Amino acid sequence: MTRSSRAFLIVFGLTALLLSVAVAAVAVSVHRCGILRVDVHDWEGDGQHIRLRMPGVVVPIAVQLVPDAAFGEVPGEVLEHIELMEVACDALARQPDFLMIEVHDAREHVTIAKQGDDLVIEVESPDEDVHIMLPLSLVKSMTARLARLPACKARSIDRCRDGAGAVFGHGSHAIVVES
Amino acid sequence: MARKTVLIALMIALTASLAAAGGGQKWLHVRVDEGGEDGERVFVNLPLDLVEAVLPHVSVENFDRGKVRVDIDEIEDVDLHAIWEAVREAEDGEYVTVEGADENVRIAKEGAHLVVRVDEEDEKVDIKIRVAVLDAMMAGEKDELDLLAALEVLGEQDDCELITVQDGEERVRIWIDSQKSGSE
Repeated sequence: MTRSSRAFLIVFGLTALLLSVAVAAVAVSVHRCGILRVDVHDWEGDGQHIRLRMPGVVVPIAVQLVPDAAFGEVPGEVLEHIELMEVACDALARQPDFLMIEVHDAREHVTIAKQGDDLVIEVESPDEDVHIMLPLSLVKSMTARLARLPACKARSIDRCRDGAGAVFGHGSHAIVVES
Repeated sequence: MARKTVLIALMIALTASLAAAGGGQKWLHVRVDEGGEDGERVFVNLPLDLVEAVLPHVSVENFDRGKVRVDIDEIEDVDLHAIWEAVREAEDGEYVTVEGADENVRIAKEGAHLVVRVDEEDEKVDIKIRVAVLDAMMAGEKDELDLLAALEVLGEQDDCELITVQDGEERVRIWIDSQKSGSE
């Protein structure tokens, strides 16, 4: 084997290895973050069927890149319950699969269930069927991002001063300040 | 042969431990049935440890960190804790019986339970709570009811019916058991 073909093989081998590692890393991330699925089937009108499949890993990355100002005025009620949402996500993730809520009436059938690492919301009605699979890790990363908004931090500090605990989200971790 | 036996024993032990872990979980169930063919039916199933994890982080008006603050101004002369202390120490029996034209109310201590029954013309309410649960609930400050502590005690108890309300065709039932589906 000539020296140049050996060099080519080494470069090719390294590139293939790097690509394999990158593909494996992406596969692991996609598996860990799950896939956001939205299916809407409109039974009325022209019977549209909307399907959305998005790797959950895309949303946290995109959300991290959005500047604080772009979130605009997040309603106070949402900011107040960030801590609760983070805790609920963690606690839900530890539970077995279960049907959390089911509402049944003459027109609609609504279910909210925990399936694997996802929250599954289904609405069936004569007008439309909606099926949403929301990875819990996605909800968690969204709440962690909202927790880093200045308005949310200020609110947490205020709560601390009032004698309650506060949580500042940091990705999948959180710093808990107990009064 | 010995290796196979060990493997089978390990599998049995693993299955048993998983079953025990799953069976230890208590679930809070709520059923609301409006009755009739078109009536709305609502089913809620929640693992108790999920409720216990989330409750300390809920803060609304008179509810904070799993505790309900009772507005003392409204019941200025009533010491809930003192009343409960007296009931707890007392023998079994009926403590309050109201017999009216339209409704009957009965509050009694029956063994390990406090039982409240309201019987109106078209509404029936049954509440049955363990004394230990009420004990935990009343253990805090004078003007507080500790729901979180009560839930913890509930989780250690056997399956039990908590509240049943029958109002005409409408039926509300709240109970705790070890089944996640809460089938009736």
